[in-house]
Amino acid sequence: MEITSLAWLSTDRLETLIRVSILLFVVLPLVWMAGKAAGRFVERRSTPHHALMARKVIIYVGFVLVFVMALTDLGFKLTPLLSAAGIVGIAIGFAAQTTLSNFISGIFLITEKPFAIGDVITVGDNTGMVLSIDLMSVKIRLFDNRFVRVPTSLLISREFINNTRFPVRRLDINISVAYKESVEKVRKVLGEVADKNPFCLDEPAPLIIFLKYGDSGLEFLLGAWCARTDFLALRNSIMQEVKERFDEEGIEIPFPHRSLYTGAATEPFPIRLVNDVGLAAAVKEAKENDSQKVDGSSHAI
Amino acid sequence: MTTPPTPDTLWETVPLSGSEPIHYQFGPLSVWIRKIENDFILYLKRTPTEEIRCSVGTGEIPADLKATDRFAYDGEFEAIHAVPMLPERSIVVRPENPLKILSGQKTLFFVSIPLSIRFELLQGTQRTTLVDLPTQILSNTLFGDTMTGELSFALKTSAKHRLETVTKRRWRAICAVTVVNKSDRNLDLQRLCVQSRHLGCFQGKDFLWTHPIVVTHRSEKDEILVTFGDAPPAFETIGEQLSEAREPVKKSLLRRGLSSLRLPGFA
Repeated sequence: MEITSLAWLSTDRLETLIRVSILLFVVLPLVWMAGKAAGRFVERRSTPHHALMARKVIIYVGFVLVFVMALTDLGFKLTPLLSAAGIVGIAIGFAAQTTLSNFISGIFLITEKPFAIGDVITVGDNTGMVLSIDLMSVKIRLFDNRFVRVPTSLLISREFINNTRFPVRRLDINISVAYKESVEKVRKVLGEVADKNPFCLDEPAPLIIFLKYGDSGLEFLLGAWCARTDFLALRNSIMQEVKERFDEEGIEIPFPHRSLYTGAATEPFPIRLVNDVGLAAAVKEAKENDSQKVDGSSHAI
Repeated sequence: MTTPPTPDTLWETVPLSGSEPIHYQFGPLSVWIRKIENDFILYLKRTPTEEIRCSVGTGEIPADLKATDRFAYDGEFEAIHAVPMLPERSIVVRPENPLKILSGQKTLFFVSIPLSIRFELLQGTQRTTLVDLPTQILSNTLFGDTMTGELSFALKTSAKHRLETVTKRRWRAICAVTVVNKSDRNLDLQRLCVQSRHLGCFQGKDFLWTHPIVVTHRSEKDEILVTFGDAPPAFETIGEQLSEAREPVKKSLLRRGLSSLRLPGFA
């Protein structure tokens, strides 16, 4: 029997098609827009993180509902589908333990709120800005513009650092000066450098600590506070300013060195001091010795 | 009857008719604004804080000075106007000497705050902000603890008890802060935080003035009560209001936590 397309398109089927079309092409975009609008609404009253969550919940739930309604309209029986989904769900649950772990970790992370979108966090060797906090993962943009996806279970199970949680940060710089330098003078100079730096806060006052007698010099710690947004600017400027002021004041920054002794700690190497004339003669003598060695070696060849 | 003081010439409108650059001097801040076709070019020079001169007029740009900024436009601006604004961030200041305010007593401080100058371009009744420049670069400080404190500007000058001891500067405004100690203990006052973004500016006879502030301390547990006056202070004859607050407070009373206005010793 020949079925014409017009006969197939009975009134009922036409109605179903229209309903499904409305669901897919009108309601679905409306759900999308509602999600976006809810996100904007929440963002005005709360954090970007909450806005993102509100948007996603509305869009995902809305999409699922629309698809279920569309399938029902098209005549699919959902009861066996849901039963099958339950069995498949158990199977998938076993197979997807990591996913489930991430999901639950995501819920904990969202409840605990250890960081928000826009915060700068350090996870392992990676430091970057949080772009989004989802149930399964946290997306981070590193400062060299690479993208990192960190599973939420990882963030729950190990430590990470939120660099921008508080309004101010302290920059710690370890500085070493030669043993001959005056501790008081070094303290004064470091204090003046911190005082003049525009990024360094007056309060809390900079920390200047004489740490220890190091291998090569006296070791100090300069801890300067700054607004969290000025951290890099402070680091760049104050390091340079310390070096420049030390140069101006004649304060020596030592490099690692070792003292060698010839058997006894109290008896140094014998050193012969020579004047310019003596030095020239010594150089000449050394050159002659070298050339004789070369000649000798050529003879040997 | 006392005649209200006329506004300082610094705050008058300057026509943008000629091609010569307009030069403003506000103490340590020197600004030249040159209008060329479709562009305003800004030249900026900061001199040591000891500089006290203030002036407005046309003036040659120093040959060695490079342009700081350029602003494109396509309208017809007729004039430029400098508006004295209070700094965006709060100002932290220490009293001349550390002092304790006795229980049930109050004391008055005069805080001299360096202004920020907002240059506005006028086109009929329409005003367009060109740039907002602080007259003096203030150092940063934190008011409160390192977790919840407020990032503020620190004043090197101290809060004075007597108006006669306040140095007259045309590029600074005086804020009268009354601290009231209503607690049953003496109040150890080390630093004051003035939330300058809530203050407008008035022309006085000798000084520029801001809205007055009353800070009331009730007890260690209670929040500090900050009252922003809605009328100009009455320490000298006051003329017209030169600028509005950046963030006006609707009512003069504003309750704030210790993080926003703290009197150390009670934190």
